[in-house]
Amino acid sequence: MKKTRFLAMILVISLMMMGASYAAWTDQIVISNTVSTGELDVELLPGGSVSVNDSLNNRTAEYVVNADTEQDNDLAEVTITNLYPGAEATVTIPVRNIGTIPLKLDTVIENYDETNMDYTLTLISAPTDLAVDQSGNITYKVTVNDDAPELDTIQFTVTVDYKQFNM
Amino acid sequence: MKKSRYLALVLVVAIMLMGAGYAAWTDQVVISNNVETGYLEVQFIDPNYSATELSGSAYVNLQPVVRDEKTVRFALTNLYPGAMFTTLTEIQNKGSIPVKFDNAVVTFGADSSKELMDNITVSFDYWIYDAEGHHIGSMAGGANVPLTQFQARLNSTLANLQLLPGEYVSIVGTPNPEGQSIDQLMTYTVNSGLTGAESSGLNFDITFNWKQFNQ
Repeated sequence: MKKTRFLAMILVISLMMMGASYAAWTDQIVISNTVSTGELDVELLPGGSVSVNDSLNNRTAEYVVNADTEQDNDLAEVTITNLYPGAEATVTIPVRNIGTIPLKLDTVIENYDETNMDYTLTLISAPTDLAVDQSGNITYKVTVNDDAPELDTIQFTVTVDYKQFNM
Repeated sequence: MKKSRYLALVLVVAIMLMGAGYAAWTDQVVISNNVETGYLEVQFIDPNYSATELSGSAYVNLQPVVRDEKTVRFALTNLYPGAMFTTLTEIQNKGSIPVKFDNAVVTFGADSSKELMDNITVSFDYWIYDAEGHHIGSMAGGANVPLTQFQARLNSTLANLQLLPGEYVSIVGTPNPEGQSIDQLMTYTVNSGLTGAESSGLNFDITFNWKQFNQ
């Protein structure tokens, strides 16, 4: 055997012995992680009010909260009848953060036809921030102007978008 | 780094950032509104006169010409000094909102006899009824009011009248000592001292204007 091959074999055997010594006792520590997300959820509540600036009792002035397609109480249907020029209807509907993170008001969209001068829609307030379990009121006013026709009906929606607090 | 690679990297980073922005959580609530107006409607009620609702002294000929929800018109002929005639006028709020009396206008036809006009007086009061026909109040009109002052008296005495939906006002006669009776109707009287105006005519319209209660 040539000298060089002998040396190589010695080197291999030495390395194997070194490996055996490294395979001896071991230990490990493990960090097990469970990460879950929260929920952003806001809902409308009963218990608000639809009031008109008079004492007439021959009208409907109410709202009901309905579940949307996702079974969240995200839809309120307001009905107000028998208004007249000069009448003002004020709608106040509570909204509550039922999620697990704080909310921040994003946008309020009124799809009311602004060219219709017979009525005026005025947003009075909507909660800008909602902590978890906190409630606030969405309030707006519908005013019937002088030229509004008799037996008229208008339909519109008020959509309030909330986003997570840190956005 | 080549320029094209640098641009691609920038693009990828930009798209990632966009993705992060759109991915933020949101929720929305929707309030659907249905808003309706009511209507204002005041009408004369009972479109047909009965014998007790339009009557006069002997020899006076009476006939209703028009009577519907908006107009009452009748003709009287063969009047004479001391003659009387009575009418029942009932006005009802048939709208959906309260109404308030605005004004009354009495207009005389151009060919009316001034002498006859000056020699007719009217006596009247108001009875107010609720939608179920229950008497809920009375208001004084006037006794022996000259026809030429009828408009002013109507306006002064009806000035604060408000009728809720369904309520109505009957214009009846003046009180008698025993109190008012529905049989005692608004009474027109020709002055018994009238010496002229034979074969004369008189026509006049009484217009009641109403407005919504909050105006």
